Amino acid sequence: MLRVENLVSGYGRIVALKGVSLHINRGEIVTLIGANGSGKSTLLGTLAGLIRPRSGHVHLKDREVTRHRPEKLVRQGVALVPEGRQLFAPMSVHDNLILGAYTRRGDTSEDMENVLALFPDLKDRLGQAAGTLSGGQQQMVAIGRALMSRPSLLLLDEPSMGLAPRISQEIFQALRGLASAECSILLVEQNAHLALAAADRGYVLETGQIVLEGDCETLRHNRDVQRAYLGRGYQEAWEE
Amino acid sequence: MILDQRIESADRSSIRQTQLERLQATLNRAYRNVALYRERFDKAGILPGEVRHLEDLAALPCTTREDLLGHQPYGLFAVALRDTVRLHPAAGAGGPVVVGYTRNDIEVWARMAARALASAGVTENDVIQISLDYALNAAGMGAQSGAERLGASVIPSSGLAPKRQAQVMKNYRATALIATPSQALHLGRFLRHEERASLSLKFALIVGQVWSDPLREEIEKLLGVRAFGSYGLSEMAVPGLATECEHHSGLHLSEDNVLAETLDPETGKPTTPGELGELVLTTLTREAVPLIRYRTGDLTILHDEPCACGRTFLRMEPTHERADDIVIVDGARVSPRQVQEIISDILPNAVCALKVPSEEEVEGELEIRVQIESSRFEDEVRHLEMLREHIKAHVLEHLGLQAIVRLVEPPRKSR
Repeated sequence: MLRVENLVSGYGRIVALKGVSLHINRGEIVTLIGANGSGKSTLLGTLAGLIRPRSGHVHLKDREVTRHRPEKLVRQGVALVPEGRQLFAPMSVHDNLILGAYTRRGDTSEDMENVLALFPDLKDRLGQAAGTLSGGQQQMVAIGRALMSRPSLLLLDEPSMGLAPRISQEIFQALRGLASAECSILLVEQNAHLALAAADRGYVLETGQIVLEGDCETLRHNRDVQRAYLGRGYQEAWEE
Repeated sequence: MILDQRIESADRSSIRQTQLERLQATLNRAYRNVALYRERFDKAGILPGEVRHLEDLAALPCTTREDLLGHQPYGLFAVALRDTVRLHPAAGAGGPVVVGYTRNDIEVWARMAARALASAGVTENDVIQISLDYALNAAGMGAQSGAERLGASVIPSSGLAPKRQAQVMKNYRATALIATPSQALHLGRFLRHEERASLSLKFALIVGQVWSDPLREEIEKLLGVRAFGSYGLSEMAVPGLATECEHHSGLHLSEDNVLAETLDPETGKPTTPGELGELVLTTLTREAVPLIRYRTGDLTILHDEPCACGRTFLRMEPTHERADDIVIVDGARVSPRQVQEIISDILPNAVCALKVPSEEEVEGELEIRVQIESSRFEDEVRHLEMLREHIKAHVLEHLGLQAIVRLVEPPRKSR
């Protein structure tokens, strides 16, 4: 589905990704965990075409898409749910969602129905300005907007950020239901507990390099992951 | 049966992608956490990030058993000692080296061993008797966790004489045996015809020494089972590193966990599949003790054509003669030089030769021939016998191996 080889990318003189290789199989949810500044968002930005990589290759469904522009990537099935949701606050929920289908031709009513079935909370608020919604609902609109383009690869940047635990749970449950043969998910998340519970596999990114890969069960049992991302064993780490 | 169909039968390009990702992660961790690797990579002028293809690995220096010996006990650990859950001293040339395992390492190993058993046809309904020595060889624990992972029932039966071994086998209706070749052969020779007929045994998974077709036929005939071989290396996870399937067309390497190369023993240049070379292995999922380009000293040929069983992992031929004079005993590698050093405590300047005992000899795992001066044979037999026992005890103490010691005269110089 997605295959990334030796991706080097960054901003200006800063090299944030130093040769990252990863892959996502069809229908998989893959999570990327890492501390602040490890390069997670750079990776998503590069995959979405917002940042041009310096070197490396990105293959989507066996086609090279390495330096494609963002709008072209959306047409090829890549949709980004950006960090902080980035909705058009004064516009209605309905219009925000419809914008997600901008690159597509034809009828979008079925997609709208699917989004509303996934997030029934939005049903009664279609006419409301997006900026007036709660954080959780805004996140639902952001994910819904990405889904309107019928992505085969959904990129999510910190979907749980600023949300109450119960709401995060709800959104992650929806994500689990979303992953299918048609849609694979790359999930970047600070909350490693949530991410490792929702995903199939994961990669651990440290200062722009992958240091661990494995299924979520394996990563949960890795002591470094426990100490750094799951908040377990701090006392032991201190005493070391 | 193929236990992990999706992984073991993946197409080659996705195997290579997984290998590249895991190799890069392993190199990054090794560089950050193990001083030896950091120094070596820096000296070679190559950073982990510069390994962009599997082939780039050839630019990195190899690791040898001497490196392990030189950094005992924990110098090559990539995790803190308290993050390991098990330590296995791996016997072999130069003395034992300790290999640590994290909880995940044990999990991965169990999975590899379970795959090996499944590929031999063992299922959750089998009762598996493991006669391997759990202390001498890590393969015992490996086989045990693999069998349990598969859901089979395990009878640990190390250290039992053939008679007791056969009794246990009969009474508890064991259907599979995991043993070294010599254990399997001893048991087979011990069994009388009617006893063999009363057993429920169906499979034997052979671990440890060098594997060959004649050996398989012999074990199959003696025990009335289907026998499956494996490749073992005490520093790596055994069994499961490489094992046979029902087609007996070489040993399938567990390529999602280990990257195999073969090198020309003369030039050290990589050889391609189909060509003979020294097997060099890099661990891809090991957390505690990652080994990068570890030289096994074993000569083999790799095959990359898919096997009739459907597995797509590389197959290695049972190992050919070794690149050196090392003898493999229960997965441990023993060199004459090392034995010589041990014996020189008793007999300075002794010359000795090693061989794996012939199949008729039951009392030991390793045969050592020690040359002594002709004049000593004029001694009383009692003295010679004492010398022999002394050497034997000394070898057991230092190598942990039951040896057959033979005292021989130096060869006469021919004119």
